[in-house]
Amino acid sequence: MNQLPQTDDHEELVRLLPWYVNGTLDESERSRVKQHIEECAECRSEAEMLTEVRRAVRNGSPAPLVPSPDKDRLLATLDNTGRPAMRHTWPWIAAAATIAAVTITVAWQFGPRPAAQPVLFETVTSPAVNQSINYVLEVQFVPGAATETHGKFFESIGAGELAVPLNDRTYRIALGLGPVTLAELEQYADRIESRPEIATATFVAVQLPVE
Amino acid sequence: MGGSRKISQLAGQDSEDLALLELIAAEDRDALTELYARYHARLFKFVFRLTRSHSVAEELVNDIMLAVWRSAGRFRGASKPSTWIFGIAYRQALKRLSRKKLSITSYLEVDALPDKDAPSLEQEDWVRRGIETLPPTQRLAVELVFYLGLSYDEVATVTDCPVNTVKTRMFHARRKLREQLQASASAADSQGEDK
Repeated sequence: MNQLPQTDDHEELVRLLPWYVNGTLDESERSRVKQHIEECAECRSEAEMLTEVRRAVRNGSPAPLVPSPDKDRLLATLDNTGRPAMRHTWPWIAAAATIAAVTITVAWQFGPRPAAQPVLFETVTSPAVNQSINYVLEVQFVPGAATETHGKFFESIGAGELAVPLNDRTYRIALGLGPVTLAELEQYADRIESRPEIATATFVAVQLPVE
Repeated sequence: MGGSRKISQLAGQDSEDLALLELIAAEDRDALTELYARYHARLFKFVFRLTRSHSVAEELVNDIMLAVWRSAGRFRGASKPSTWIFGIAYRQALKRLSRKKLSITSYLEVDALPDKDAPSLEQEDWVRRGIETLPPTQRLAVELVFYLGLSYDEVATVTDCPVNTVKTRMFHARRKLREQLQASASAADSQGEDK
């Protein structure tokens, strides 16, 4: 038996092992992998490990007690958010964003750009934070979203065309928010992210006001 | 015989889902609740595995259905409706896992981490623990492949990534799990020697 896999086939076939184990390869691929496994000790060992992984995943933690579908809750959420969600749920944030985006964008265009930071929500744990703090929201559009889609999105949240582009689909907007809680910030980002044109929306920094 | 009956049943469900999505695109709320009822249990189980929280899982399922409501008009039938819906579930789950790193940590049973006096964990426990510590994209790839049993093409559709990216994620996930299993085996060995 060949203990030293060295063919190009090995590189290709070793990457198919997860799907060999889950049984979704087509017949031709399955038969190539099967034959290779018989000859390659490394792939045989990998396949055994993946079989163990599959077993662990499928036998995993006990199935949760699935609650009954709560249609009323779903419809209530629908009524509260509507389409588009932002206009009904977050008018105060949209208004604040308009004002803040104007101010902060000017600063960003001419001043040093703040470095991206990880989300540090744990530092914003008080029930309400100071009104003068700006929260920097970074949004990334889904690949292929047209430029006019970007513009429409910013209009819909009241930021117009003033968001600062970082690349062809990522922008930053500073939101000068009134007293908000940690949960409200997260909900706001979630609402943005639930929009089909948005891939991610994350608060990347908290920007203290310049005295 | 059995195989063809299964395919025909799936096709039937797909066409019913497709009809519901068309109605939802026309803002038919009854169609949304019907689709919700059909997918609720599957979606709940999937996101619960990732969040380990009933309340968060319920909230995520709600968010997923809300996203379906908003984007049903964009569904063009390039994939099965179920693949498209799980694509939305994937993105929602990934966002949640990526953002709440602290919360993810809290889901781990830290008191069950290896310690000299604790009984050794079964192999499956080690594997599960290893999966929980993978980066979100790799962990979700493992769940999609082994829990939902998706083909690489389906995973690529759900995650909106090229097939090669999907294979690479699984390759890295497999390598990390292998390293962890080897480390756990060493830990178990030294535990045995100490006793």
